[in-house]
Amino acid sequence: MTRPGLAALPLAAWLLVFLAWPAVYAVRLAFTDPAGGAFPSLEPFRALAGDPLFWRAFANNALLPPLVVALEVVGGLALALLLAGRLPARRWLRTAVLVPFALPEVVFLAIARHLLAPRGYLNGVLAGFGVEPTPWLAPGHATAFAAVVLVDAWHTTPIVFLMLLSALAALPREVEQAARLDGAGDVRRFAYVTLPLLAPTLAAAILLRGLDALRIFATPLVLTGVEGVPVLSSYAYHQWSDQGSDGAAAAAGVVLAVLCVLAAIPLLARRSPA
Amino acid sequence: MTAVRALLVATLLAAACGRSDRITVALAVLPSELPAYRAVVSEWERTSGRRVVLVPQGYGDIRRAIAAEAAAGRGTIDLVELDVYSLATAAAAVRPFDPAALAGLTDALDPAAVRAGSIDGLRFLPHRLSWAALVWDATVLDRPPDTWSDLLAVARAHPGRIGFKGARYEGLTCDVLPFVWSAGGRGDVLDDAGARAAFELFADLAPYLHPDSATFKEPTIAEAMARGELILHLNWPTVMTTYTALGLAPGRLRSAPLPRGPAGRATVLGGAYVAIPRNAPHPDAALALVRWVLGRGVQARLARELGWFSPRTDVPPASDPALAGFVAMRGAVRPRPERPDYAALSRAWQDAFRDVAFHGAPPEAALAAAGHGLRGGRP
Amino acid sequence: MRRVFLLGAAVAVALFDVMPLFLVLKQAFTPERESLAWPPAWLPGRVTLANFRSAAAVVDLLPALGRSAGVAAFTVVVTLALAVPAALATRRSARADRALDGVLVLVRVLPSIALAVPLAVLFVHAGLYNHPAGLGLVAAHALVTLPLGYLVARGGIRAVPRDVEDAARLDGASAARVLRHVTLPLARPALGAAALLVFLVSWDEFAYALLLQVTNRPLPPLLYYFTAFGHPGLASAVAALMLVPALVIVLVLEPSLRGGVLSGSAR
Repeated sequence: MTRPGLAALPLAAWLLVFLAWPAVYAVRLAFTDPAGGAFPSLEPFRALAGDPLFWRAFANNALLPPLVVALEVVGGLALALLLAGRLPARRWLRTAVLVPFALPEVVFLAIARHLLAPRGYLNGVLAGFGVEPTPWLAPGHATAFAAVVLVDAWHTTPIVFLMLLSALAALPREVEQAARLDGAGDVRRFAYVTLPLLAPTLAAAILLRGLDALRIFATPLVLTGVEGVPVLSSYAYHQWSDQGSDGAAAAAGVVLAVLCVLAAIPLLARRSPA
Repeated sequence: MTAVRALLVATLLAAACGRSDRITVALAVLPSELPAYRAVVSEWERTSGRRVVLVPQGYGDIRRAIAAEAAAGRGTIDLVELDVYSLATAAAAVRPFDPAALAGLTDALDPAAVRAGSIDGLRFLPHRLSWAALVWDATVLDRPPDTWSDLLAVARAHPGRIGFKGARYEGLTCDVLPFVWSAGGRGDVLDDAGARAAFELFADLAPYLHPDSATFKEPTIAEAMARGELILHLNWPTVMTTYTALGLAPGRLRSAPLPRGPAGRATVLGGAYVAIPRNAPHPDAALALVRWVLGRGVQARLARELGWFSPRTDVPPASDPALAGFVAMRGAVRPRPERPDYAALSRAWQDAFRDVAFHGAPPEAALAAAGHGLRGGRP
Repeated sequence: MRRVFLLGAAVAVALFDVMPLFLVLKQAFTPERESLAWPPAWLPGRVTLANFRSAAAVVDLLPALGRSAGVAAFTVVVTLALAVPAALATRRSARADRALDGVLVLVRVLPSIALAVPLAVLFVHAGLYNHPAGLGLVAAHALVTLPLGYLVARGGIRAVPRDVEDAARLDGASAARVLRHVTLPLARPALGAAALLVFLVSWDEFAYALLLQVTNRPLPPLLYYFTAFGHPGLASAVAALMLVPALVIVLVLEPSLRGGVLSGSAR
């Protein structure tokens, strides 16, 4: 009991030093008055509350995850259904579909930015149809928000695709066969047979992807800059890097961490003994 | 497994190699400026026998890095560039220059600029100066507005196409102060006649400002101008370099002196300074590089190739037609008020402007409210 | 008829998804002028290595490459050194298993920025902030990769059949010998996959690299610098360098990814 348990000690020690201590320090920073060091103090949070950019970041951080996850799940499901069957060259197709996820995130975002730039590829194609170039990523425009949602979903859809592909492959064939023999049409077979069997995987996908989407950082930062489509992570980065306000950055980080932990409660509850 | 082990050994070796002949310089140059600066530095490498590693980084990150190295007691950066606004906060992390070692160099530099870098001894030397001027669209306007009434007339004729860098940051103060000064205001108090006159102008201009002015900063306002959404705004010389690279200047977009106010013309001094961090591993080499970069020949070359404004009084700005407006303002450049509570003062100007321009507050009331917060409350 | 339509849709999606890769390579190997032209060309004109040369001439590109590789390699060693013993420990103890699972979910869930600020302070005191070889980054990356690395390693170790181990024990081997000669070799495919995954995640990692390394940067923040200032050619050259290991690893891992190496993980 204790002997094998000791082997987990290095990991526990690592987590203590690099997770527990910084987390405690972050909370401490977030509740320390920057002008004087008084603790506890709500001053950093008051500074956040008075900053319109923080509220924009908060709103975006609440709106983005549901939209991104919805797109990912629908897209991932569609892709999995499309590529699960016996199509020619399906290995190539399945690998090709992984590319947006296989590319390093910064690389993918850099190209997305070039695609959506005022003189970028998308505007170039549209100009061929006589459409005026639109500044898709301009700060303050709704198109910037939509662009962040679409690009992030594009990047992460392959993950959901992979999860559902494995789940589809694991479906018991007899159930499928029985439904087929019943004469159920494709859509009915999907809705009444496949979908319920996929439900656990879908639920897991939504949960996990939702958690990841809450922590979104690079996509809005690289595509639009901090002020374009602010989210809590990039807002905290902005406070730390541009403004030099450690306290405000820590406070924003704490707000985001609380949101993430709250959203993770279903995940923690689901952890049953393996 | 053996592959991993080999990689480990290789990286350990690489890390262990002291590379003691390299000096590291962190500065905020654009990718378009890097090649020219790199070429200039290569000449020093040849004569000194040392290698220079140029690291382009933002001023905020540079500030944090030297603060971290000062706290840690040992560092990796030999020379840094910092913007004029962060000198006060960074002073503790850099070492003062030895006046004897700078023999004569400071005499050749602009005295006001040198004074701005003398915080607790001479810790910062001006690297490149900049100041604001008017950027205007020559395809829309026949000539740039020369006086405040011209400016107002242009705004009325083209509503929604005048831009200010109105986000709540230092750039807004840089848009406000020139108007305050050119109305005879001091710039460090909010309730003198000059401030009131300037803010009357802002109130008159408010209905004609571009709607995004409340969030504009240098990059975004420059982009809006490039797209044709604006016909004029205030910006720094680097924006003209970008416009020239895009082919927009000096044909369509040009620079001009700021409009003349009741007390003449004025503009605000910006620019970057170099300093040697407290724990620089090669301070002597860094000093040698600084002396070389601030030498007459090198400064003339940087002015010619990058359009930079040299801090040396004996190096005239390049005759780039795109920068003509900036050059014409050289005599009207003023540094920002040197006060220990400058951050609070700057905030007050920003708040007052935003109240007047975006919330329709009357100028006197907005100035009084912002000024009151400055005097009474916490900085 | 319908099959043709489905195949067409699949091919269209595949082409659309491959397009970013194509554009990166095109922009990397053609003069920057072409990438800035209007309207932008989709097909390469002149092929050249100029962007790589320019990028290497203006920033310390090769040291950044070495730093990325070094940090990723170190992260693999640290993560596996922590995860494998822990996976062995939780094999026998269900309580430790649950506890560790819970903690690792927290690791996975906490945003990097929340931890990066205090980590930076900690690293400053320990001399790890902006470390020349990126050792501080190794610590942060180990944190990021531990959940995934642990779960994959655990899956592989659990898959080792007990009877084989028990047979070796009955033959008189000590616990250590069983570990070295039976368990670990049998778990090697999963451990290999874990190593590759950890390398990939560390190689791609952007947030901590941006926050914890200022002048001694690995490749991702360098790419961000070029992208933020609108240099598609130079940015794509750096991107092309970053791509090579990333794509190789994904191609190698792809069968396992589909086969459910990740099914035991929180993905």
